[in-house]
Amino acid sequence: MSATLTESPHRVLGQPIKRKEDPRFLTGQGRYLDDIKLPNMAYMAIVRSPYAHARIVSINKEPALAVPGVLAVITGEDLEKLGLAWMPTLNGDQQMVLAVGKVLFQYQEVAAVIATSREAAYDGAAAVEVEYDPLPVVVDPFKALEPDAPILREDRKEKSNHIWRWESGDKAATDKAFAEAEVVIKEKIRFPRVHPSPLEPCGCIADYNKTQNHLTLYVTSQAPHAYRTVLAMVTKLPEHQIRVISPDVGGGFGNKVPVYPGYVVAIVGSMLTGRPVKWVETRTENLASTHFARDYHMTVEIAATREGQVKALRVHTVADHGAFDAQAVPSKWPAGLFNICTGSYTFEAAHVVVDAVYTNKAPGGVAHRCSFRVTEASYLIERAMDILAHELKMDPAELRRKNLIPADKFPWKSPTGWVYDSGNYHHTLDYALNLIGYKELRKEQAEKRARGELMGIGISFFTEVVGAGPSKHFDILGIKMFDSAEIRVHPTGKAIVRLGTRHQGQGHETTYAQIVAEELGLSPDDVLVEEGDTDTAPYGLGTYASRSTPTSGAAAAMCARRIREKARKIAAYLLECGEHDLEWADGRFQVKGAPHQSVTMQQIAFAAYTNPPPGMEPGLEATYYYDPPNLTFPYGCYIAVVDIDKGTGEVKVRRFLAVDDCGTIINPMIVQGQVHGGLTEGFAIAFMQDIVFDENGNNLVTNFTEYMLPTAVETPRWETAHTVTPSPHHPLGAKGVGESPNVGSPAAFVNAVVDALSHLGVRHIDMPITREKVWRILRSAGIDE
Amino acid sequence: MKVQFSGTEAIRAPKEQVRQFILDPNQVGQCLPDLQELTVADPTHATAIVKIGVGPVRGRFKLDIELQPSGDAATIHVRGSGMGSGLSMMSEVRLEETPEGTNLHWQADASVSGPLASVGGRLLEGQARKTVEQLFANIRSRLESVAV
Repeated sequence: MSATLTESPHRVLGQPIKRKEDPRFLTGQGRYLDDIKLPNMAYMAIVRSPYAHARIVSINKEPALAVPGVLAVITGEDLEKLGLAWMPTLNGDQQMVLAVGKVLFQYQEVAAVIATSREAAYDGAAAVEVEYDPLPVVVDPFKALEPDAPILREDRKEKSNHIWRWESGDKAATDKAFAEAEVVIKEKIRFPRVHPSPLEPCGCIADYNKTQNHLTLYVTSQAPHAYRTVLAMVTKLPEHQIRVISPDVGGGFGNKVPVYPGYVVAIVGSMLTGRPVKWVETRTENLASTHFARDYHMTVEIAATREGQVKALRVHTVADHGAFDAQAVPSKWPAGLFNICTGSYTFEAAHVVVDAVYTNKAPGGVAHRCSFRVTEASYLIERAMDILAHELKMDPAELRRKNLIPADKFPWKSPTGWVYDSGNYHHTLDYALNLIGYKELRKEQAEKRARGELMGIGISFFTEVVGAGPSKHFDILGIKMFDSAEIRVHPTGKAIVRLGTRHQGQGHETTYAQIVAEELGLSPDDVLVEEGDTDTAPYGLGTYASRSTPTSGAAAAMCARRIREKARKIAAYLLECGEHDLEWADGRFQVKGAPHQSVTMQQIAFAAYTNPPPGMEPGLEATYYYDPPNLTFPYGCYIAVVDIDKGTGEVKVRRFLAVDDCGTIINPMIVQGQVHGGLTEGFAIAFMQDIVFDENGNNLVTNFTEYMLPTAVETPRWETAHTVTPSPHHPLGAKGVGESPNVGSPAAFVNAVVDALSHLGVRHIDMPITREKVWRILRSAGIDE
Repeated sequence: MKVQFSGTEAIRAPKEQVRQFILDPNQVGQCLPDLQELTVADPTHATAIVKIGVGPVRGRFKLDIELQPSGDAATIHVRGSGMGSGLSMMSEVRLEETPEGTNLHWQADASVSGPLASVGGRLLEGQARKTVEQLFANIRSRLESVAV
């Protein structure tokens, strides 16, 4: 498979074409879930638990049923009779749809009220009387593992809050390297519990038609086909009688991958009332009950030589999963791809252990880089490399240069088994250092430090692993993680392409149109991209984990090439020559050596329906399921420059340079937009965000006054650049980029702040780095204004 | 949220009168701040409806009150729910005879769960303290008005 693209006047790939979807988004013409109103539609509100852990003594529906407009009240007991009180999670666990017997986290779903209006539904929910008997609460995952900790999950056979242990790498080789090491560093590093907070919260409309035994579910979903299959398994409705439609989605970031209890209850509500039932959660419900990200408590150790050659990596992580293990991960990888934590460096040995734990917190894990844990891994290794540099009194850029995987070592096999497909790391490092003027910045820092001013420079050289994934390793609930595309070229040479992915603002309608247009010699304006309807799109696993371009983008290209093969036969017929006399150039078929004798795709498409070659099946369409041979490994070098106010502890990000290598770029403007967005998320995680619980398990950040999102005021100015090392196995050489900035940036921010304070003996600060934290460090170091 | 408060009310009434008062659900119930309804179930239990407001969150709470003798004094246990939130207060009361009457020493562990704890946030501790202190202040003034 060739990764090179022919240079030709018909060149659509790599052009900063304006996004085809933007006019409708920018003029308020997007059609989101809550814009949909069906005739006779009812509304649902959910009664949630105020307690993080409590027995349910009784539930009294009567006062709610007396509220005008209330049609039905559904409890866990009602669902139990239908066999729907519990549903499987995407990680082999089960979770309650509505609480049965007890509640395990604050804001857990306890009952649902269906009413003729949204207001009546909320009034009804407020009227439901639930009597609780509070139980001891466990919020600290380390305390959850203590022998006298209360057992949270009484439904499990194992009487323990420990869910599973996952190990990767070679323990013996790692222990040996540590025993022989000249230098060892060790640090405890927490990646806080954060929430992606999409602008549009989650919601659905369940429309069940009893006479036809047919369910249409309109839902904010990043993976409509996976929903259909899960719903078929949970509700026992035949899969062909379920249609899942995901309309425009107002941001997902993984938050819209899981099937939430509200969707299942809305379906039951529609079956009970005979009406379509709409449920849209509130901002607080979104923040407090839907999937969070991270919450990894990591202990990292590096063994190295005195000259700074890394030898071995040892990591132990306690992963706080909340009340149910509801991650979405391939069966083989319970901690996702966390063992990519050897990063961009030539470690000889590594041993990684992850212990997953139940606590009285909302379940989750599917957000920001899905459950694949690459962000945690990248943050960990990039933080640890800086700690090693500090220990060795080496420049962090030099330490990285010394240990980066050399270009001639690709494909490179990591000690935990990953085969990195391609990279030219040293080139990208040098490019980034030159672009930001690293030497001058270090000089400036030394001068400022001499004057007592605080300035820091932080580098992160991350390697991502995306595009899940090859079917031999990757599945969700057993379904292999291929993805698909179907292209129909109409008689006038216009095309529609349908895909199994679902964009949430990433620009698929433009990116995929560019891919298909490039491959078929069309204008992107003549290619309509459609996603999100399971009745029309081919089966696919959806959009998350930066997998759309690596999987569906590849499927679209391969599907177009399949069409081109048929087109070649039609072209030969039209030009009255042999197929082998033709070449594909400038977006058309032309006779070799006689370029004026050519036919366009428009002419070919017309012939396919009006004048097909004798014996040939008419029409011009194809479907392709792409099973990637490997993952892709985008990487990048990010550099942050910060100044710290000694009086207030305020960190000002003066510069931030992101040099990404995501292989072939399909639309540089869209890539830049994705990088800007991801960097802003990374900035928020580094400086603002943490889901905090008190000792009773009360979530203390249930709205945007407590859980901060950066606005234009706080957000730094981003500088972006690229190096291009195409993926050798992707049909276009593309690698995916959506999550790179979220993965790579937190370490750069934190490294910069720690660098600014390192002369005060500071080695590590846990995120979020708030002004208060910095202020306290400065005061305890005796620094005054 | 879990908080602990304590205080002392110097009451101009004899110890035995104070003791009987704090074991009477009808009397103690009427000392709850912002009381709207009170129903005495039996000699140790009552149910009350009170109005509670913390910052932007305002609504009605249904409280279950239980009074139990403890040594020569009492425990007062209040548990309730409202506005999707739950609260509980367990307080120990100790009585001490003084020349002027009785010192009522109280210690209370209060706990709040649910949106009230989240949304009330920083305002909650102050509000909880004020409410608990008001309860015991009301007990004093009610006893003294009876005594006078």
